[in-house]
Amino acid sequence: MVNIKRFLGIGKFEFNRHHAYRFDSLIWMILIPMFFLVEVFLWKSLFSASGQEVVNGFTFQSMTLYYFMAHVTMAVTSSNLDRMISYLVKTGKLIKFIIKPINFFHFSFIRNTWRSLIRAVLYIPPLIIAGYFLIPSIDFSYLQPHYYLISLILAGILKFNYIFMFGLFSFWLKANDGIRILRQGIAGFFTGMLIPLSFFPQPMQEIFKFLPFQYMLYVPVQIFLGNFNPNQIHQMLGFQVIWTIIFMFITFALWKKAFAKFKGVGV
Amino acid sequence: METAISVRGLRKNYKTYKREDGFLASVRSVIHRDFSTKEALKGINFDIAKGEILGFIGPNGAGKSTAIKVLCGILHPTAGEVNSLGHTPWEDRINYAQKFGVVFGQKSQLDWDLPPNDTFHLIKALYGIPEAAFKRRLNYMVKLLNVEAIYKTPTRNLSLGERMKCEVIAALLHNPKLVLLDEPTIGMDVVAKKKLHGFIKRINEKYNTTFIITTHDMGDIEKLCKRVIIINNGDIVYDGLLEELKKKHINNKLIEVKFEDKTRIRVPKRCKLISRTPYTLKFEVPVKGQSLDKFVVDIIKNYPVADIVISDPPIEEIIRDIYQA
Amino acid sequence: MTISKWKLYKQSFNLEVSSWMAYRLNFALFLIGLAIFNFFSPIVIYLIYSNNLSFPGWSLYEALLLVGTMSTVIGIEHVLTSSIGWASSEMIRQGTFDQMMIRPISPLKLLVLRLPDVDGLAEFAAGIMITLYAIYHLAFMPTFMNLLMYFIVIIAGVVLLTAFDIMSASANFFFVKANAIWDFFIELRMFARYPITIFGSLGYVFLTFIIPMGILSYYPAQAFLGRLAWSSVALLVLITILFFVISLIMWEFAMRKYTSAGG
Repeated sequence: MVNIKRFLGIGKFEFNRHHAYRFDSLIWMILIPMFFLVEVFLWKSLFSASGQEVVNGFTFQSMTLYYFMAHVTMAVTSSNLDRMISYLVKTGKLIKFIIKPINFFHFSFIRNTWRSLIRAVLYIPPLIIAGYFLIPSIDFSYLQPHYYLISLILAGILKFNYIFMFGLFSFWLKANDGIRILRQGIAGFFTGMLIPLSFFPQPMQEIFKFLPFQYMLYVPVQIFLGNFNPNQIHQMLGFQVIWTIIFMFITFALWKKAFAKFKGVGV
Repeated sequence: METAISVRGLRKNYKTYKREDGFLASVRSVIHRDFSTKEALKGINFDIAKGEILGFIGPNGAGKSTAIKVLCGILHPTAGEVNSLGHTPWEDRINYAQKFGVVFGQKSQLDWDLPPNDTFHLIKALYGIPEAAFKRRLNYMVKLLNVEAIYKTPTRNLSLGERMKCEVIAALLHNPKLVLLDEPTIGMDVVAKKKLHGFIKRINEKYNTTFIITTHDMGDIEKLCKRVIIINNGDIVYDGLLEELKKKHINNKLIEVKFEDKTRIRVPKRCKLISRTPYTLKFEVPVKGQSLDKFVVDIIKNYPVADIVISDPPIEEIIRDIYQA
Repeated sequence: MTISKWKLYKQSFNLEVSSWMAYRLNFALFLIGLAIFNFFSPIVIYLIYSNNLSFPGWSLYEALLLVGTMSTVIGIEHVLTSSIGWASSEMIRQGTFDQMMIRPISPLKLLVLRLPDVDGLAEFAAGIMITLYAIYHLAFMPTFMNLLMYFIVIIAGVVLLTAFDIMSASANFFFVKANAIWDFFIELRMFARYPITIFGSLGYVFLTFIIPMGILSYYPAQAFLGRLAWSSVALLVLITILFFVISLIMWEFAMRKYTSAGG
């Protein structure tokens, strides 16, 4: 169903959009390394004040690497699709997509993929520059970049379905910015973006295993850092796939209902 | 003449929910809501031939938009059959979409921050338009509508008229056999409207494209359509040639005069006064049996006229007239 | 209930949420979400301390006081004046800024008076909650002087944030397309989340004199805890005033450019 010309054409369009907003991109190319810098200084001071080498399985070195990879993962997988869908529904412009010979879900997925690629090219280099100065020398032999890549792609697909689902909510809620900001708030904690999940009390960590959030960021990063043995890695990847399938089902069902509502009543 | 669209017994009912305000009412409304049924289309029938330019008129809420949405395949009717270009629109959406285009006057499909040209290229990718055909059609339409200078400028910097022209181009890039225009000339100035009318006629002549135009602007209808369908309250009240409609049902012209000074003018006999203020006068003149030009010249000669506008009576009056006939 | 009535009931039971409820639900969720953002820092700090780590010289509740004060200051400013930047950039985009210009009052005052931000109340509430929680658990009684200093530095913080907003709004006139400038000034606050001493002596100086984010959190907390001298307070107030003056100058330049270029 996906043909090359359509894939490339959407990519060109997405690239044009980013080019139109290049000044904004530039500012975020500065901001994201700044976030990283704050985190590095934070943990530097915490580690040195504690006098400990290892805290919760992290050394200062691996902690800096954790945050580095957290930002990389976040940059690549982040999506504003729910805001876009809400806008299209609110303004009625969704109609313009429905009358085209495309499947809106496929179209959104391709757009999202291009967005991830463009964001990777924009935001990873500044992070690497910051990392060069801020990350102390590490033992690279324990790192698992290949498994990380797989996990990253799975996390991206998982997140895409999850956020698309939230976008669909706007068919029923008139405005979805409330539930969106709630989603972002919860994600901050439960994905491990703010602080590694191993710092949460043990009972909460158990709960996290049954929630989808850790599979969007924490798990890929931990895989990269080599904190899982091969069996566990396969298990984690499996969970990522399971959660993706769950969200795909929900999204599919909701889309049918949303589309029926759209067709029956008209937006 | 080949039929492009045939509609039989098209019926569409909407549920309108009673408004629930207040917390308790809202909670109750999750379980049960009072609703009433609105019949937007009451079983209409019509055929449209290939290459026709049809005018679809009617007051607001008459059912025009509903009918258009059904033809777009985005609305599922309550009952009835529709065959458009060999498809049932809402069943075969993706294949049907290749064959028709829509222009919604109020909803733009052009990306706001990017030049229309970028959106054109996206459309090329989405519809799978071959490169050569795309270039040919694009250049042809850009020249015809005179947007060469501006179609590579960001949409947000364009005037309404320029934007609408690009909207129309966007809808026609994939060479659709059927084009639906919903209020296309809203907010346009006279010059831009004229350009658009000329464009539609040219495309219609060259490609035999079928056009359906929904509008309140009788000027659009006059210039483009030989045949009109008037919808009122979900029923078709007139389906025939525009000429006939005018002959039978447009008996009066509406004249609005603005004066430079306070003027008290006696309304001539056989004319119906609509409204009057010290500086303005609005009245209806019967078209039959007298020369409208001489009449207007008389007024201009004898009174300090600042502005004078002659127009057709509103569609509601034409409809009222149809019912009385 | 007869069968037909049941069918009727089934028909009307669907995913429809009444508009009234949908909007209010959305608003409630929005405020909760906004408040959650304000709990990021306190919870992170709580987790840090519960894993036996700490900021040198700061107990858990002292650190929470720092972070709660930051949220409070941000909340106050949000309620009063943050709309300036957002509203003016939106208005420029939509082209409605001109109508502000023709009113007899200066556009700046008009923006402030016209658009108070209710979302800020959520942030303010979160901030107050955290601050009071911290104070309650602190085994410490501030003197009257401490409290006075505390409030003075808080006010300075609000003025500083206002100055940043004005700067960001001015910058928007020069770079019309850059919405991210606004984001940049907001995100600068990341430096106030923790004691500015974590950034080393160079960072400490930078965050006191150049981009004085310390005024938002570190210095008021120090004031409350009796660790700030009056001379320091005077210096901080001076720095704030300087920033405010600079922001007004930038605004003047922006206004001149706007009127001369014709928008």
